[in-house]
Amino acid sequence: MDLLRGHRGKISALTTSQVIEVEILCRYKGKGEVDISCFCVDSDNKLSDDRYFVFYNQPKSPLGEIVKLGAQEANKERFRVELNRLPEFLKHVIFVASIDGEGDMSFLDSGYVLLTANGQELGRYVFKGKDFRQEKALIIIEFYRKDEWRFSVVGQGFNGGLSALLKYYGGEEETDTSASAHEPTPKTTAVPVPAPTPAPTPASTSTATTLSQNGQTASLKGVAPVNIALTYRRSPSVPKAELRLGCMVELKDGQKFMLQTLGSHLGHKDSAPYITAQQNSGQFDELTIYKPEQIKRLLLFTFVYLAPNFAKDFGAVVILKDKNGNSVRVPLLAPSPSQKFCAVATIDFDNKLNIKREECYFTNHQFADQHYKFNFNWV
Amino acid sequence: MISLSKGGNISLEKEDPSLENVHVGLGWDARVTDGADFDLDASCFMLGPNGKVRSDADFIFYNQLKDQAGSVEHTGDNLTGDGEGDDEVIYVHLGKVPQDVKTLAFTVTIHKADERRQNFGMVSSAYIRLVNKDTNKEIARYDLTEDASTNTAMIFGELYRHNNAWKFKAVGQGYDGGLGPLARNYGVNVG
Repeated sequence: MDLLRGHRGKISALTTSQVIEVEILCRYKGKGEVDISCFCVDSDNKLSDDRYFVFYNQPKSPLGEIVKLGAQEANKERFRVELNRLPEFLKHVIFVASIDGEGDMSFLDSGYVLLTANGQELGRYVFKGKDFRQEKALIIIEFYRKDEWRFSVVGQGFNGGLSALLKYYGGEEETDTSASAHEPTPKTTAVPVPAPTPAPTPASTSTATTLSQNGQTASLKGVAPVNIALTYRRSPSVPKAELRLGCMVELKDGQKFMLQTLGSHLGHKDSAPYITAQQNSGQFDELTIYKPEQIKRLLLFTFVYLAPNFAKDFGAVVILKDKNGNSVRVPLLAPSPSQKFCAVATIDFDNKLNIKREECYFTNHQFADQHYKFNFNWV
Repeated sequence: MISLSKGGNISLEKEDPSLENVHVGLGWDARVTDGADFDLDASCFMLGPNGKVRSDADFIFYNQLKDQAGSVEHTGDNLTGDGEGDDEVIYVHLGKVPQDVKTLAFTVTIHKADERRQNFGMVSSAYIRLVNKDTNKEIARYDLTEDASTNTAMIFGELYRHNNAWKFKAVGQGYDGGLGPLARNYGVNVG
């Protein structure tokens, strides 16, 4: 099927498959070459998790939902996207071409995007330099969720190039220095830290659950107090870095609070939010929930203090434990090399605490708040 | 609200017997990428029994905002889609529509679509809807971005007289050509 600029439709109208291969070629006759990349944005059109930015320095997304295929060729890329495996919060998969060099997209000789599934051609959009004016970066095509996965042949762009395009999506252009962050972390011995405060001997009926996949859930009966502890290793690659623990919480009566083991937002035991944050020299920080039944929803988070980003070797684990010794462990398995804030899990209460693993990274507290919509007043 | 399939008829009496004042709203998002603005236009053609305008005065659009009887009023041209909610609105007072007008046809077109090489699919969140102005109840809506992506003009629907009542027919038909050819088709003398 020949696709036109502006063309939209349901993927299900093209194929029953949810695994789509996307091949993009831009023959460029200007000086320089065209870089082609793919990234995902959330419902606010924001690039909230840059692990879902797939390009030459990061050839696949965390769970391989998006993979760059084949050897690198100038001006051409192929990607495989497994739409049904992408996390629910990602709403758009965007394919962009940007010029690394002089000139603009009017210098394109020709180009195309070809969609295939199981080796069958689904559609092809062919473009030429005269379709464009001064754009230095183009959104070629995107997949997006609207009831179901759909495609949109965009063919529009930004004169300011990739940095202008990424700015619109709330991101920043990768520079050479940040690109080096994608290289393997140097192998050095991580300093092991002792286990946190010894837990009470669990009763024989107690349960221990580990949530290792995003979206996975577990419950705690909610016998108060519920203790939440963070453990991690000091990382030689960012020796000063500390992880801190905190939560954003909305109580059943509508009051909202943010607590963290840093600064003065340490909560209260006997009044709302009935949660306290205990800072133990930046290691083994803890939160204690005294009245789980007051919680409407809670976002548990950790963030990097005294360093610009997460280290791969923190080995951070958040452990929730109720009074009876039942525990739920949430290990952080895919630290984002360029972000400071990690939404660890969401919690709500209906006779028990329901914990859902998130492990979703954000630039800062405010971006996370925008995503989870607590709507705090940030100053 | 009723989801419309092409050609479906809705009896307004049955659906919304209180209908006296109609609001036809056209909305879209301003362009965020670089390039010519998206300028969508809502228009209304007041048609006699032969399906043509009685005179050029029955063509209500950005350059002629009211009819002579004061029954149809366009609130003005929006050139970019800037702003919240409906970006262009046409009000109809059904009780004031002259008796020899049998049909009101509502259309949406993209200004200079050919020259700017634009279509509805390139515009974000473009829709046209019919609302009961008195109750604010939405009676019909067409998602232009999703369902008319490769079109540049569309006949959205027709309000027409049937047994002393007004009915609405969702046409949802793409039109090959801009506002000029569309107007000529309805019998307007376009210069």
